[in-house]
Amino acid sequence: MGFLGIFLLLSSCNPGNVTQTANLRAQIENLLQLHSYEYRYREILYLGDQRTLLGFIPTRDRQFLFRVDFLVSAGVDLTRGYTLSSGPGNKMTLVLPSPEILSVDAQEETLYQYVNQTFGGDLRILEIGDLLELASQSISQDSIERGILHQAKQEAESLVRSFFLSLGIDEVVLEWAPHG
Amino acid sequence: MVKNIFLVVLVILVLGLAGYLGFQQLPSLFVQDKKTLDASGLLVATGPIDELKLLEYVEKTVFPFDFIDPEANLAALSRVIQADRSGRLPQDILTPREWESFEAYNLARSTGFDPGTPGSPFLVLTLVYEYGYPLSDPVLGPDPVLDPIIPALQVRPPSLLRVRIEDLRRADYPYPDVRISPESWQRISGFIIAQKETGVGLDTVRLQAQEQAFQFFRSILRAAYPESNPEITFR
Repeated sequence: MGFLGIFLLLSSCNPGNVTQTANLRAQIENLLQLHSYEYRYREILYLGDQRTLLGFIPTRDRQFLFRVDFLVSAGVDLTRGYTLSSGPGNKMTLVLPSPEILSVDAQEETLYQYVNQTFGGDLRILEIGDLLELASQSISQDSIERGILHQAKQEAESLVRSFFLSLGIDEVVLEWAPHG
Repeated sequence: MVKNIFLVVLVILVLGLAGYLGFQQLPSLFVQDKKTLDASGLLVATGPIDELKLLEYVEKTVFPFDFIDPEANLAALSRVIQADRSGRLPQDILTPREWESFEAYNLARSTGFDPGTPGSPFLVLTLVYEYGYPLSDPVLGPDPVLDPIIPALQVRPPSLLRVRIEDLRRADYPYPDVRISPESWQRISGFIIAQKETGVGLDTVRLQAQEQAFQFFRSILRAAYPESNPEITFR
């Protein structure tokens, strides 16, 4: 039985619940997400910022070049809702929401600085944020075009079937609901 | 003639100085700005991840202040380390909390966040602790009882999958913007993640993740065996 996936559903789960803890700067959010497939991107990020006076006197020449890896994760967000019904016989029908991009996240530990030219001002933390946001948008689109959602669906199906098999249910009809 | 040349040079110098000092009110006729942001990348790896995420604990943290014990005498700690002749590493000489303060202080100073200077800059970061199951390891015990009346599962408790820093977004960051190099950002974020992954004692969060897992497995068994009263135990 070694490999057992998981997940599913149930109306009694309350995955969207948010609990405010005693610490007002923190909160807990219940989720139910099956992350099934992942892409890793290596992004080269560049910010150039030049200012000239009268067209030829440079008063600012900032250039920053660095790389950072991003992880894109796709899978099934069960908080969107699902249905599970039994019968006839030893058979289950499961309707899951279609796979989607669940997260795009920069991996700060992989950050590597190539150029840090600060004539006229240092790089700012929000400019790093701007670059990460720009990269996130293009990565998300690229991963979809390359088929991450299809791969996530196949992997999720395999996990679901393995899990139900371990519960003695050898026939599962899987259906995918489009996002409403 | 010489006087005219002198005046032209003087005007150019004054305008140049004004531009250099960032004098924003100069007419665009005199000042040209060019800003370029570019991101280009390559897909370097793909593969299944197979994780069930049950819960996120989200907290705000302020660097460097949340990592430096206000009671710590950092100069005294430095002297203790220097005076030690036992051959131990600095982190073994100090207590974990003292070492964290000492390390955070040194990191802050070397990255432009010296907390000892008036109006010192700071970073407000959102940390996300993700709890759930890596599905590469068995989640269920070896002998599930698939009884239609009282099915029973032994389940591994969910675990902390990772701690990550939420990517900064200009629209969600109302605090002062700060100067930072990419290298400094890498060092600061790496320090924070390392501290939080090893130092948290979030028993309440772990228990809530376990409760979420309990409800999840119970729900599945109830759907598979509608007349049942499932038993879920954590091993």
